[in-house]
Amino acid sequence: MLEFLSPLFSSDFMPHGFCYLWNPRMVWLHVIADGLIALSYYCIPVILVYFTRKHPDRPFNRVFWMFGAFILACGTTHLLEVWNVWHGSYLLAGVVKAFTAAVSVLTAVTLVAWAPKVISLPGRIHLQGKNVELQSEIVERKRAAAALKESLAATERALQDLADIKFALDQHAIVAVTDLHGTITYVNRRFTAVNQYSSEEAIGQNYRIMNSGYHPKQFFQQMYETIAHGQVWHGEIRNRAKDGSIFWVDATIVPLLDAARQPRQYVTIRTNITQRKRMERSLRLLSDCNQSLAQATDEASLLRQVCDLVVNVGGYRMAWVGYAGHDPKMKVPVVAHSGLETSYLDAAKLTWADQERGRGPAGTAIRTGFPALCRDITSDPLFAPWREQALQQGYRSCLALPLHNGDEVLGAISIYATDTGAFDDTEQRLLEELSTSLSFGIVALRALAERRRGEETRDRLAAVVESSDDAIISKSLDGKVTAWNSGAEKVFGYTAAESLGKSLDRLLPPEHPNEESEILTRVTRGERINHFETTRLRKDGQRIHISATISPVKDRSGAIVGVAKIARDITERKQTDEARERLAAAVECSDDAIISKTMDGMISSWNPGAEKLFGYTAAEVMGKPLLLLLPPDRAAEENDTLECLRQGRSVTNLETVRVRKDGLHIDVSVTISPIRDRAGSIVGASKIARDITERKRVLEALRQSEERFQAIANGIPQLAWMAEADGSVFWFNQRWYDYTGTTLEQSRDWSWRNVHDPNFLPQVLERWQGAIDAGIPFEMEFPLRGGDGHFRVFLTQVMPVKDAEGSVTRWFGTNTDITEWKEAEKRLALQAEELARSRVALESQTLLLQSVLDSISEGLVVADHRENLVIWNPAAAKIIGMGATTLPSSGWPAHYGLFLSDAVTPLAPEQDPLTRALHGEVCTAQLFVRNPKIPAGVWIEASASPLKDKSGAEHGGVCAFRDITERKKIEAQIRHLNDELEIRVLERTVQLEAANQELEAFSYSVSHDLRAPLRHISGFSQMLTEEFGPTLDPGARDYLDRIQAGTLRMGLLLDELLNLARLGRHALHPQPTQLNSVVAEVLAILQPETAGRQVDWIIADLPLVDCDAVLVQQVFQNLLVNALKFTRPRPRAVIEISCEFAPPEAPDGPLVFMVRDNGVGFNMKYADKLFGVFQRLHRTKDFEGTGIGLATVQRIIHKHGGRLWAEAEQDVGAAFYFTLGVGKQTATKGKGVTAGGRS
Amino acid sequence: MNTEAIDILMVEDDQNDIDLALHTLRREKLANYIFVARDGEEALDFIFCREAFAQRSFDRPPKVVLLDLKLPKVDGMEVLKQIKGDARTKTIPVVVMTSSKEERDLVASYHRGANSYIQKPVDFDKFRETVKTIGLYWLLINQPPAVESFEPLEGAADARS
Repeated sequence: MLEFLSPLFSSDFMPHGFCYLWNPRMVWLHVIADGLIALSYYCIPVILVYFTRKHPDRPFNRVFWMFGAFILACGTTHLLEVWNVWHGSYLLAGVVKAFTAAVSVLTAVTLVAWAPKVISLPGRIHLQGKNVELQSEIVERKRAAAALKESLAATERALQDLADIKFALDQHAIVAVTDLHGTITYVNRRFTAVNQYSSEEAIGQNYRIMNSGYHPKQFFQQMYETIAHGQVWHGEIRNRAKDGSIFWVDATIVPLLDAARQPRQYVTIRTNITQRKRMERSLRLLSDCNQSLAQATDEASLLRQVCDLVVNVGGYRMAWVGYAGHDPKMKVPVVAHSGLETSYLDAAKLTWADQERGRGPAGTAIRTGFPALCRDITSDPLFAPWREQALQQGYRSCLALPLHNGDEVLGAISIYATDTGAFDDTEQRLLEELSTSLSFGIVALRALAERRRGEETRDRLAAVVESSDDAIISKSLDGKVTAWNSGAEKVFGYTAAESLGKSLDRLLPPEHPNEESEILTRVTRGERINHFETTRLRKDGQRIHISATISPVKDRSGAIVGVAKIARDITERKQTDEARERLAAAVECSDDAIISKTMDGMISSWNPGAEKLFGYTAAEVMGKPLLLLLPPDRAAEENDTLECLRQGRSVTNLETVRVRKDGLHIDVSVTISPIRDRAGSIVGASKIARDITERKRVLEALRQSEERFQAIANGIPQLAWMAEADGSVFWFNQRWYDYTGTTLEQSRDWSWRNVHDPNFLPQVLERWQGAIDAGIPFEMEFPLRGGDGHFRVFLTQVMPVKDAEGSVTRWFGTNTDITEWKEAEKRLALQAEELARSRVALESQTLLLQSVLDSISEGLVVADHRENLVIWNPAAAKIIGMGATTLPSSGWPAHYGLFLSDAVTPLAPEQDPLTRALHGEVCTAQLFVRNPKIPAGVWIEASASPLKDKSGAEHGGVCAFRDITERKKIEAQIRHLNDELEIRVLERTVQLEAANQELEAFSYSVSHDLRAPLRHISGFSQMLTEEFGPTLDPGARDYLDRIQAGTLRMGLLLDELLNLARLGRHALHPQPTQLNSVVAEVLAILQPETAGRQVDWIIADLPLVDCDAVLVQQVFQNLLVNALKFTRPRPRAVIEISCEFAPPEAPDGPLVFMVRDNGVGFNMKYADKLFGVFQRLHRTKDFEGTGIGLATVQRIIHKHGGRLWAEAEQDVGAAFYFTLGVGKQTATKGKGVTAGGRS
Repeated sequence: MNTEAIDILMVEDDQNDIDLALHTLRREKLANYIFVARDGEEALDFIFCREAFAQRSFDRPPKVVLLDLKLPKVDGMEVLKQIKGDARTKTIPVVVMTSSKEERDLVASYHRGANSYIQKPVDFDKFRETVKTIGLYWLLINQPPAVESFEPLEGAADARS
């Protein structure tokens, strides 16, 4: 253990004693001195601890502790010094020293920080002064104590007085004391009585528990501001007791101030003034209500106002007015209310019947006509049905006051208060007065409203009478008109002035003159005549139908005093009725189904036609939905039609499907129109349906047959068309369009004439018109122009289509292309002619052949397939020396002595050319023939081939041969000559090569050796000029300049000549070359030459050409250099490079390249000299040059196998043309000519 | 003349060309240390420090050799081949300066390791300009390698070949 410490103690260092050389005196001097220091250091902390213990109040304890630790550490370092004299534990000594250092630094820092405080500690003299002060204070205190005792007795007496006052106060006032925060610290007995909190409950509570929430925040702010400033506050406050009851107090709040005149606590003294407040309130309520009554104009707002006043002014929780309902349940409907009621009244379900819900205050008040009071809702059994809701709303008591109209009870006003027993006698009396006033107000307003209504009715009546279109007339009993409205004026034509006071007799038509008096008699009996229809005469004599209602006019006593008559002109209606009847008849007998429906889709009429069509009788469907007739998949249609109808639109000829009663689907065409009433609003729809099943079927068949026909017509190889009876074409088949390339529009009617040959057209039209007129078929051949513009011949056949009566309804025509037939016909005729001719020719040819065979110098032998030699012409016999043999083919070589071309080897039978031909082979051979007839032998060259008949079958062979003995001899000679020639060529080649090498050596030495002297001439003449120039006379200097110029020109000539010479040696390396890039490179090289000049380059797209790119670049360079040079006098040079096929019609011909300029040109007279070496057409003075450039160009072009030529005009320009013969030059040829850059 | 410290070795047999070149180099103050070899053999002796130049050291090679191709005894192409074929001398810049404009001479020169190929212009102004440019470039601008720095790079056998 403690092994980790061992490095501290174990040490390889030598003990410190060695430093003292173990000199005992020295050692002991150090040991004793260190020991003593350590001992004394260890004592100091002990004393310090003792000191701090004894003076625990002494400050800076920490410093003492640190100081102690510091001294302790110092002591330890000295102790270790002693230890290290014998042991070398310097590490441990170092650690301890480090610790000491840390502690001492900390102590020093702390001491520095605390130094000011230490300095401020009182010294001893100061403490002595304090002591004296203390002594005198003690004397003072003793004196004060005596005085205190004296005053105590006085205080006790005063306290007694206070207790008495307090008792008196308790009897009258509510007293509470709060601290500065409003926390209650004391309440008196009256407080507990009024506020219902016990003093234990109240103390410790905040005063706010009594806040009734009545006063606004500002009220309390103002109050607290006052008392917080130490002033007394006085005012009236509405408080709430523990049970929630409200009471008003007159409050005085007195702040008790401390010595600094700051409030210490508050004393509140209150007296209950609730009673007084209530009285005041009730009185104000009454007065306000009376004011409202005076101003009220209608009952509802009056009631509402009063309710509002009861709540807002009277301070009651809620008020409502209910009227006595005269229904069987005797409900009490609420007609006005104010205040908190949230749904309370809705749920109250009040009645004024004598039952549970009728025994509440309101019910009772209405029923009895006397005020009904519920003092305490919490306990009143009569209030049980509403208690819970009432308590929730905060209602505690309720007063209901009846509202009277004389003896009748109109209803009751109910008033709710938040405290129990709120309505005392005085209050109740005042509120009763309020209800009486309200009753009076209600009755007065009702009377007023009644009168207004009466007036309005009368006014309205008068307006109605006056504005009525009906005639409204009144008569007295003696028949005189007493009233005549504008309607009467309109109906009868007489004005009121013309009619009043007159009899109505003049209106009577002659057929019933007594009608008016009869009516009068009936009416005076009290009868009323309704809707009596009759006729009358208008003022203008026109007879009109009227419908009259006549009734007696009675006075108040009920006696009949006159007659009132309302007459309506129904002439129009009568006419309409007639029309309707006619219409109905038409509907009844129509074959079409005519149905009407209401806007909700119900069938409202159904005619026999409908019955027939759909199979339902009217009785079955009336009032049923029309959907009945729609197949289920078309149900949506009904909605669409209804939507149309609603928008006032009709649906016409809708072709659709409907279902019959028997379930059959029928095709119908339906027309639906909206039915409007007189006001124009849509009330239903009429629907006319027609069975179109048959029509549809016919149409469908027609369409199908038409389709079939069109398909056929489109399918036939001919062009086909149809025309109306008058010949105007209205349809063509597809082939017509395909062939002619026209559209229907371009061909229809008579427009087809456009595709006819104008030469034939007049005839065609004439004959076609004839056919139309006669109604007979038409047939003719004529050409028609195809879409490609070529005419072809057609056979046109047109058939009339006739109806049952035999008249033409349309024409059906076809055009058959007979061009081919026509041509075939022509060809056949030609062939027949040919055949006849060839027969004659054959005969003569046979003869000819025979004579040819006889006369040709070639031998010709023919064998048939049975190896019979059927032809053996005289030449054959002459060459071979023998005629035809009858031997089989195997014997032929031996028989005729045939040898191979070596003239020694006999020919095998299968090698014989004719035999090979018989076996189907074509062959040629050189053979040697030697037989007894020709002992010298002959060489022949034979060619043989099988003979084939027309079908290609082989039926023999033919062999032609000729004597080539002579040729053989010549060939041998030629061969000999050839060999000689070859030797000679070789010799020449060697010579040529030698010459070439010589030439090369020459050009090399030209390049090297001739240049050197030139250089020297140039160098030394220049040096001469430079070094001796000033001393020479001008003539000498001029000569030197000329030497200089001469050498330079010589150098240039040498270079050019070398170039030319090198060209001769240069092997051509043709490769596909893009000439445009070659030209671009040249242009780049020439860039410096064009500087400062205006040059328009026009460079065409040049092709990819097989040529030597390096050489061709030289060509372009030389030509362009020339072009630039000779355009120099031009302000604007135009240089054009293009390429063209020559001739342009032959794209496979050679490409011709052109370089043209607008320079000074040259005279074509000298064109032949242009390309010679050193040939120049211009003076060096005008245009510098060596005369080698164009020679070089020519050489390059010739090397390529091309051609170079030039065209020019003096002072206009020059054009150089060349071709490049090498390889294919037609790779790609650009189209346009593009303008090049301009420099 | 001290043949130890030579900047330019001119190999040229034509006295005219020598005079013209020296004239130019003097004018441009570039002619301080020039040695003119009159034929290929003398040039090779100079380069390879033998015969009359045995006292020379390989450590002090000329900064540039101006070499004509047409030379008596040993021609310029051979001289070039030997200089560039020897590890001790191959780093010496050789500018071929000749009248020939032959492509084959140019190609052959570069193949044998010529550092530059220049045709002597006929025009003396151009000639002067050329010589001046060569002198300036090779004497002043070009940075030659230290001689010994090449030895370790080459194999020992290589150095003798």
